[in-house]
Amino acid sequence: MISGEAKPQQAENRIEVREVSKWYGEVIAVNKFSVSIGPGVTGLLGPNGAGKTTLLNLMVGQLKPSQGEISIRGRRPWSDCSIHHYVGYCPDIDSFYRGMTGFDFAVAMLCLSGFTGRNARRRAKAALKTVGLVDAAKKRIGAYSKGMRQRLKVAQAIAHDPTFILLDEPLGGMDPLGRKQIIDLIREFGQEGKTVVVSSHILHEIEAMTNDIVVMNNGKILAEGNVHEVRELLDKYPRKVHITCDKPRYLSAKLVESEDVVSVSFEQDERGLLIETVKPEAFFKRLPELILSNNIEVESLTSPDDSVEAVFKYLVEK
Amino acid sequence: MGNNAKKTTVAGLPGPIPVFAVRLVYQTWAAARLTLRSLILRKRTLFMVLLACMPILAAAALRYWLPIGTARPSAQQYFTGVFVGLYVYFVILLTTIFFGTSLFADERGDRTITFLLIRPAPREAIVVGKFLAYAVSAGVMLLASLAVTYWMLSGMDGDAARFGKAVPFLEHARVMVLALLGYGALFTFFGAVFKRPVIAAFFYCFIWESILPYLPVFLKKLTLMHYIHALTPHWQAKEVLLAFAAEPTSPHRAIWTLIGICAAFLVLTAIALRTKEYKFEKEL
Repeated sequence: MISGEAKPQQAENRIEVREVSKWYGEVIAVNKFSVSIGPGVTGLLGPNGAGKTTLLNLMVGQLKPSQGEISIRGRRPWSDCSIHHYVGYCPDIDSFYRGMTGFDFAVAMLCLSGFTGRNARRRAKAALKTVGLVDAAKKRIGAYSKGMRQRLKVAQAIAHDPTFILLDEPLGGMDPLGRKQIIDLIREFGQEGKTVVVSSHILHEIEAMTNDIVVMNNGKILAEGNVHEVRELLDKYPRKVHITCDKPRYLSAKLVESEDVVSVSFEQDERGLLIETVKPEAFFKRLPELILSNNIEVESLTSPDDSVEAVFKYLVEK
Repeated sequence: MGNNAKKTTVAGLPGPIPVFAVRLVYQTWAAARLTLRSLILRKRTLFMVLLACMPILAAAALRYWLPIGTARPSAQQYFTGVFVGLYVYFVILLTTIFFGTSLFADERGDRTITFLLIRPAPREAIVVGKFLAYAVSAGVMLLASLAVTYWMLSGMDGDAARFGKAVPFLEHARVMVLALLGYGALFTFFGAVFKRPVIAAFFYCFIWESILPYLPVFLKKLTLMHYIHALTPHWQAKEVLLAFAAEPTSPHRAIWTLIGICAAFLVLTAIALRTKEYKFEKEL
């Protein structure tokens, strides 16, 4: 699916990025980046500020490469706006036209894409149904939650049935159910043979969608290939989990019985616990049962994604 | 939300309009509707409507509220004064500055320009569509204001027919339309290229054009006001010390020059949209 060099495959459904650099003044956002992306879902993983959004904006022709070349279906997106017939883009921005309903917005975007009013309305309805927003279609966007606005952006990206779908952090602000629905949808698009690129800074989100990832940091490509290889790397680094509950000492005693927990520390208020585990999946599987069986009241549970940062650090050092 | 996400259903639906020219018309119209909608919903538009009412209020004050027996100019003199002093030098300029620059500056400020530029709509269609929306909204607003002002003053001296002959409405409306087109296109361009287009537009109107009388003849012709003056009925250049006298441009030539300026700046705006990158802070 992905490789550093362009494979001799049909250019029809591929995004080719060759030695692309983009700099803003003295800041290098993307640095000699080369990748060839074909049909299926490809995850673009990197910490905040890695250059993911810049790379996606270069791919959709919002930005002009300072150096190198990008082509979609053999055409350059910067100079050929007609490529957007085949490309759907869900940008990271959270802005919409004032006073519009979700349906109006989707229709307006389709009309701009050259659909007649009637077809635009049919497609908008179908796209909103696809992302699970049909009930809120006639509500003003101003009244939408962040998750609903994310769904709307996905709807406008898929409404014209593009071959290439580029999604910039599409799961940000979504509730767990919404995340699952959009993840399933993205997988379906990949199975349909569309070329889908999804950016995220959270590995397990990407992992849920695809096995093919490109890891980038500081504008450079760090790794590409199978997500499990990256996951193995990740497992060498303990995942931090923060829990606030009413019986922190009791919970910690139970947790350290397991081998995967490498450290537990208490916070000053004696309600917060910071746990480090080398097998987060096993840990999260065991935790709910432990909480329920011991009648522990949990106030909060968060997992600072430091371990992903650790992998990036590791890859940079490598 | 309640309902579950369903498998994509857009695949089997009809595609975009196949004929390029027809599709272009639809896309232009879509850009116009989108712009018209967002122009109407802005608070700024209310301010513009109030601005357009100013000459009407001035005419009403003269006709209905000025005490009888007060020495006052004739309706014709007054209309000419209102037209040049209020419409040409104030209302038209402010309307074109705020509406014209907003066409792209608002899209940039609201970051919605990304949604416009990721559509397969030719940039020319977007520019023309947006400009059409501006021209219709500003034109309707100011022509209505002019018509009401004209109507009020036409009956003031008791001889509407004579007033109509001396002060032809259509000639004034023509000046207004051409000024809206010329300045509107210039400020649309400003909105597409400058970060603070309103400041640039104010500088152009109230600094550069205000020194018009002192400009050498060839530089006068680089101002839009020179051509507006050439078309304005009963317009007379003020006698200004040290001013350069310019040979007046014929109305015919002024019309075509203003239309040409409008077209040129719309083309430049489309070029700017093709070549300029609209970056936002979060993009790194």
